[in-house]
Amino acid sequence: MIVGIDLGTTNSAIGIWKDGEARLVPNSLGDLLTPSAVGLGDDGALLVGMAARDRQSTHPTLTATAFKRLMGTQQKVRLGRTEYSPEDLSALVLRSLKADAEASLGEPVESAIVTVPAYFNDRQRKATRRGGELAGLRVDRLINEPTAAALAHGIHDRGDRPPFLVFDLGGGTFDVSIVEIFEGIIEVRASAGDNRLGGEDFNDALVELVRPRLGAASLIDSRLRELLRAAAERTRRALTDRESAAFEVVWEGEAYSTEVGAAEFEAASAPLLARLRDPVLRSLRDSDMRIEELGEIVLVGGATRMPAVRRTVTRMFGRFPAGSINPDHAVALGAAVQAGLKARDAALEEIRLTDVCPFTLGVDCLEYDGRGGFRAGVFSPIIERNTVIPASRVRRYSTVSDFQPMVEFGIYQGESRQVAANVKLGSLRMDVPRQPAGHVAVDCRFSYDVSGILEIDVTVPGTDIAKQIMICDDDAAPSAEEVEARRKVLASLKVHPREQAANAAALSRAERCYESFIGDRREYIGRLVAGFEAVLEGQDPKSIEQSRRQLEMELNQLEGERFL
Amino acid sequence: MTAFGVWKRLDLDRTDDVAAIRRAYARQLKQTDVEADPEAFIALREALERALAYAADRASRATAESGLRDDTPAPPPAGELTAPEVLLEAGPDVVGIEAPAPQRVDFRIAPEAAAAGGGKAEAVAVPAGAALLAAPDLAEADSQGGLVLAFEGGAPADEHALRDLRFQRLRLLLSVEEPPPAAEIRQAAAAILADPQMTNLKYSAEVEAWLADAICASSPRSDPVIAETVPYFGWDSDFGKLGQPDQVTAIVARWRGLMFLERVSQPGHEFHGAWKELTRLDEGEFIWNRWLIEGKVRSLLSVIREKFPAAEGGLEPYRVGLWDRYFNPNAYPGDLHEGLGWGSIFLIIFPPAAVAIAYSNHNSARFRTGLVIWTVLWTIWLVLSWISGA
Repeated sequence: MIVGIDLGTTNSAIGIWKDGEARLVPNSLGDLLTPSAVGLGDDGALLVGMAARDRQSTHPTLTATAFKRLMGTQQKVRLGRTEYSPEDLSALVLRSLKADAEASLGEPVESAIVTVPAYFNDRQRKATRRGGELAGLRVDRLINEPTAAALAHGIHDRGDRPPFLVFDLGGGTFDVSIVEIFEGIIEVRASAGDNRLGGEDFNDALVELVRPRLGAASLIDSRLRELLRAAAERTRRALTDRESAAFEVVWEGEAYSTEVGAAEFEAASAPLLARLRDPVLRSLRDSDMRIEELGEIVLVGGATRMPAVRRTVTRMFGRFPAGSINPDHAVALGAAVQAGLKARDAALEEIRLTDVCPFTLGVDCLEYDGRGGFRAGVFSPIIERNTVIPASRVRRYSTVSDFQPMVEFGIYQGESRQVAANVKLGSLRMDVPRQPAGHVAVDCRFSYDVSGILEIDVTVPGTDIAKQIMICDDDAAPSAEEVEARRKVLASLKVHPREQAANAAALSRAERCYESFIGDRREYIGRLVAGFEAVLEGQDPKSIEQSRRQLEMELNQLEGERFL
Repeated sequence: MTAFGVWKRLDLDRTDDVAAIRRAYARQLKQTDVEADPEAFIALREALERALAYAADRASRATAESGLRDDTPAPPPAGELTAPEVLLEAGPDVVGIEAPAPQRVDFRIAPEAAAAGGGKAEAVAVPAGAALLAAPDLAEADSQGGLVLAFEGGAPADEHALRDLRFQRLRLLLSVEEPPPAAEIRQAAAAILADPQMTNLKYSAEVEAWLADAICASSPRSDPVIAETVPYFGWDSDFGKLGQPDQVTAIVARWRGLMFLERVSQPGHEFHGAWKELTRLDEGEFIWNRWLIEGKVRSLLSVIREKFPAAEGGLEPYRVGLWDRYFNPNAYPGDLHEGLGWGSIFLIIFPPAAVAIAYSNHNSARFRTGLVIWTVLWTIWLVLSWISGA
């Protein structure tokens, strides 16, 4: 069975293609979305999903969220006494999703289509793929999130339609893609993005806005920061349909509260909103289109629910975005469609998808500077951005000094003319015949496949000198054995049992509520928790179920519906 | 007819019908397994792109031919911005977007700005584009002098006319013979950027292109506009990226140069002294203590040449030339010739003199004095040329 997984910054979801349609699989709590959060429980077992998310403000040092933003870096996250890489944490989330799907389908899941932000670079993609392997999944293909959303959007009625723009502002990344559908071909014309812009940044802006008003609570403290972030998320969601909302936080037994207006929040997030403009313009330029030619504007990603973002989009394009698809589900549904395509489902026989490589790939070279010298570190593009993939391009270089014994290519990805500002992917050295400068030509061929794996062939024409590498990270990418060893380690970690996930989530939530209220309401929650724990000890599934529902209802009354 | 190459790959007869080409591509693509056979896909894609290029070429030729036959209307006047159609009038269920209320904008120059204008009356030729405007009227000049564009007869007819006027005002300021004060140009640019309509992507992209054009066409007078627009459009952060329009790259280079000059012109900057020396206006020779600032001047010049080439225009050319000559005399052919001239005279005279010495009466006192003088002079020349060469 192949599944489609949206591994998000804030939430993740898993979907399958069955009986001619894509649908999402609910997790053990019955939710279609699972928070991308991993925590260490009090009993030393790992919690994944809602239970971990709710412990974030009460146990910030034992909880990890938004680790997708660290993908592709060497940074580690510490949970208790153990350090985890972002891949490990992603693997834990993926494994929990996999378990949900297996429980619901009753058959094992071996492979998956995993989505990544279009603007994820090669390193971030490799890390995501590794995360899948660590979770015991074969990652058949990585597909770009806006492409997946377009697939979900385009699969409904399969007729031709004018090019539309997918505007994907998620928890941590921003992508724009322009997609066209004709004759059953779903063609991505261009993608652009900013892989450091998302809902989390808006939360930070909100925290910075209210920090001066909170008096004693404006200290710098890691636990407080998490508290403020969680409160900001809550306030930001409340501001979606209200003109003003309370920003409430309880810190060391004291409650702080301030009212935030929608207008002032919008003003505070103006610098972030301004950053939405550039990727949109770039994608239009690259696809050689004018705004009038665009059909719909499709909004994807939870952060596009913010009125400020919707307003900015409306102003940008002079029209209203399409509201037909669920911004939280579209990407996972699209991944499920891709899984159906991969499995050659009969219902998708007439559908084909082509995507682009959203960034420029090339090598560094020397350039004559016009005064008899050379300038080093000049980027020479080989595959230009927004080339349809799979693609293969070749460029010829020549030696620059007499009797040069070898050539060395640094392989880069980015848009800057100076390689120093681009991302280095690796390097390649090769001996060449010793001849006068300029007499030896070297052909450098880049081949980029559908999953974003780059292959490089370097040859000296007229000789049999050739070298070929599959590009992998410069700094010590783990080998297959290391990945396998790490997978075993992760598999042996004690994870909170799936059947009890609902209880754990309810308890974490009650604990968070306990900390976020004071006075008699706090005491009341304390009593509820004690009662629930007593029932848990009794181990009677039926009364536990009943008691949990009761607890959840009480909490809903106290703090409003929980959200994902 | 059998198709070859590209057309064979698409299984299509040669055509310039874009829809047919795309249909053929879709048909072929569905028979290709992209993952198993990427080579086939790459070839197919190339065939599609070539076929589309062929069709586009045919289409543009066809329009060019028909254009020659037809009486096509003359293009709009240079720099004219077509008023963009913007749909801001939204339904009642929309929150937060209100059509901008037409407001009266005073194009009359503030008195202090006008006074700074130099008190000279300037006749303004009404640009061709202005004829399109119905309601506003362009007054030529007023008693204060400077440029005045005022409305006669109340509020402007609509937003479009007003917007047009803003662009015309900036264009006028950038093109009139007598340079207007920088503050006024800056204000005119700011008025364009402050338009709430700038949040519309299409409009702002047009404005961006128009401003880039206008700035490049009227450099260096447009420097105050640069100061407004570069941070506004975030051009600086894209500097050096592939795909940035050349015009914008040039503007950012100039902006960086200007910013650098502004920084060094602040007293207390490390290179402030050197900057003062290089912008000194009087035609005098070197100041007596040039060895004190020599190092700084050298660094400033090389920093500017390496990183901010646009800033060299802000220095005094005569002074820069003086220092260049001082730092690198050999690079100047005139000086080189002078040095060689004296040198060659010595070189020519000394060897025969030495021969003459060898064969003449050695004991003459007059001869010995002559020999000493020759030797001393020759040594001095050697030392001097060595110093100036270094």
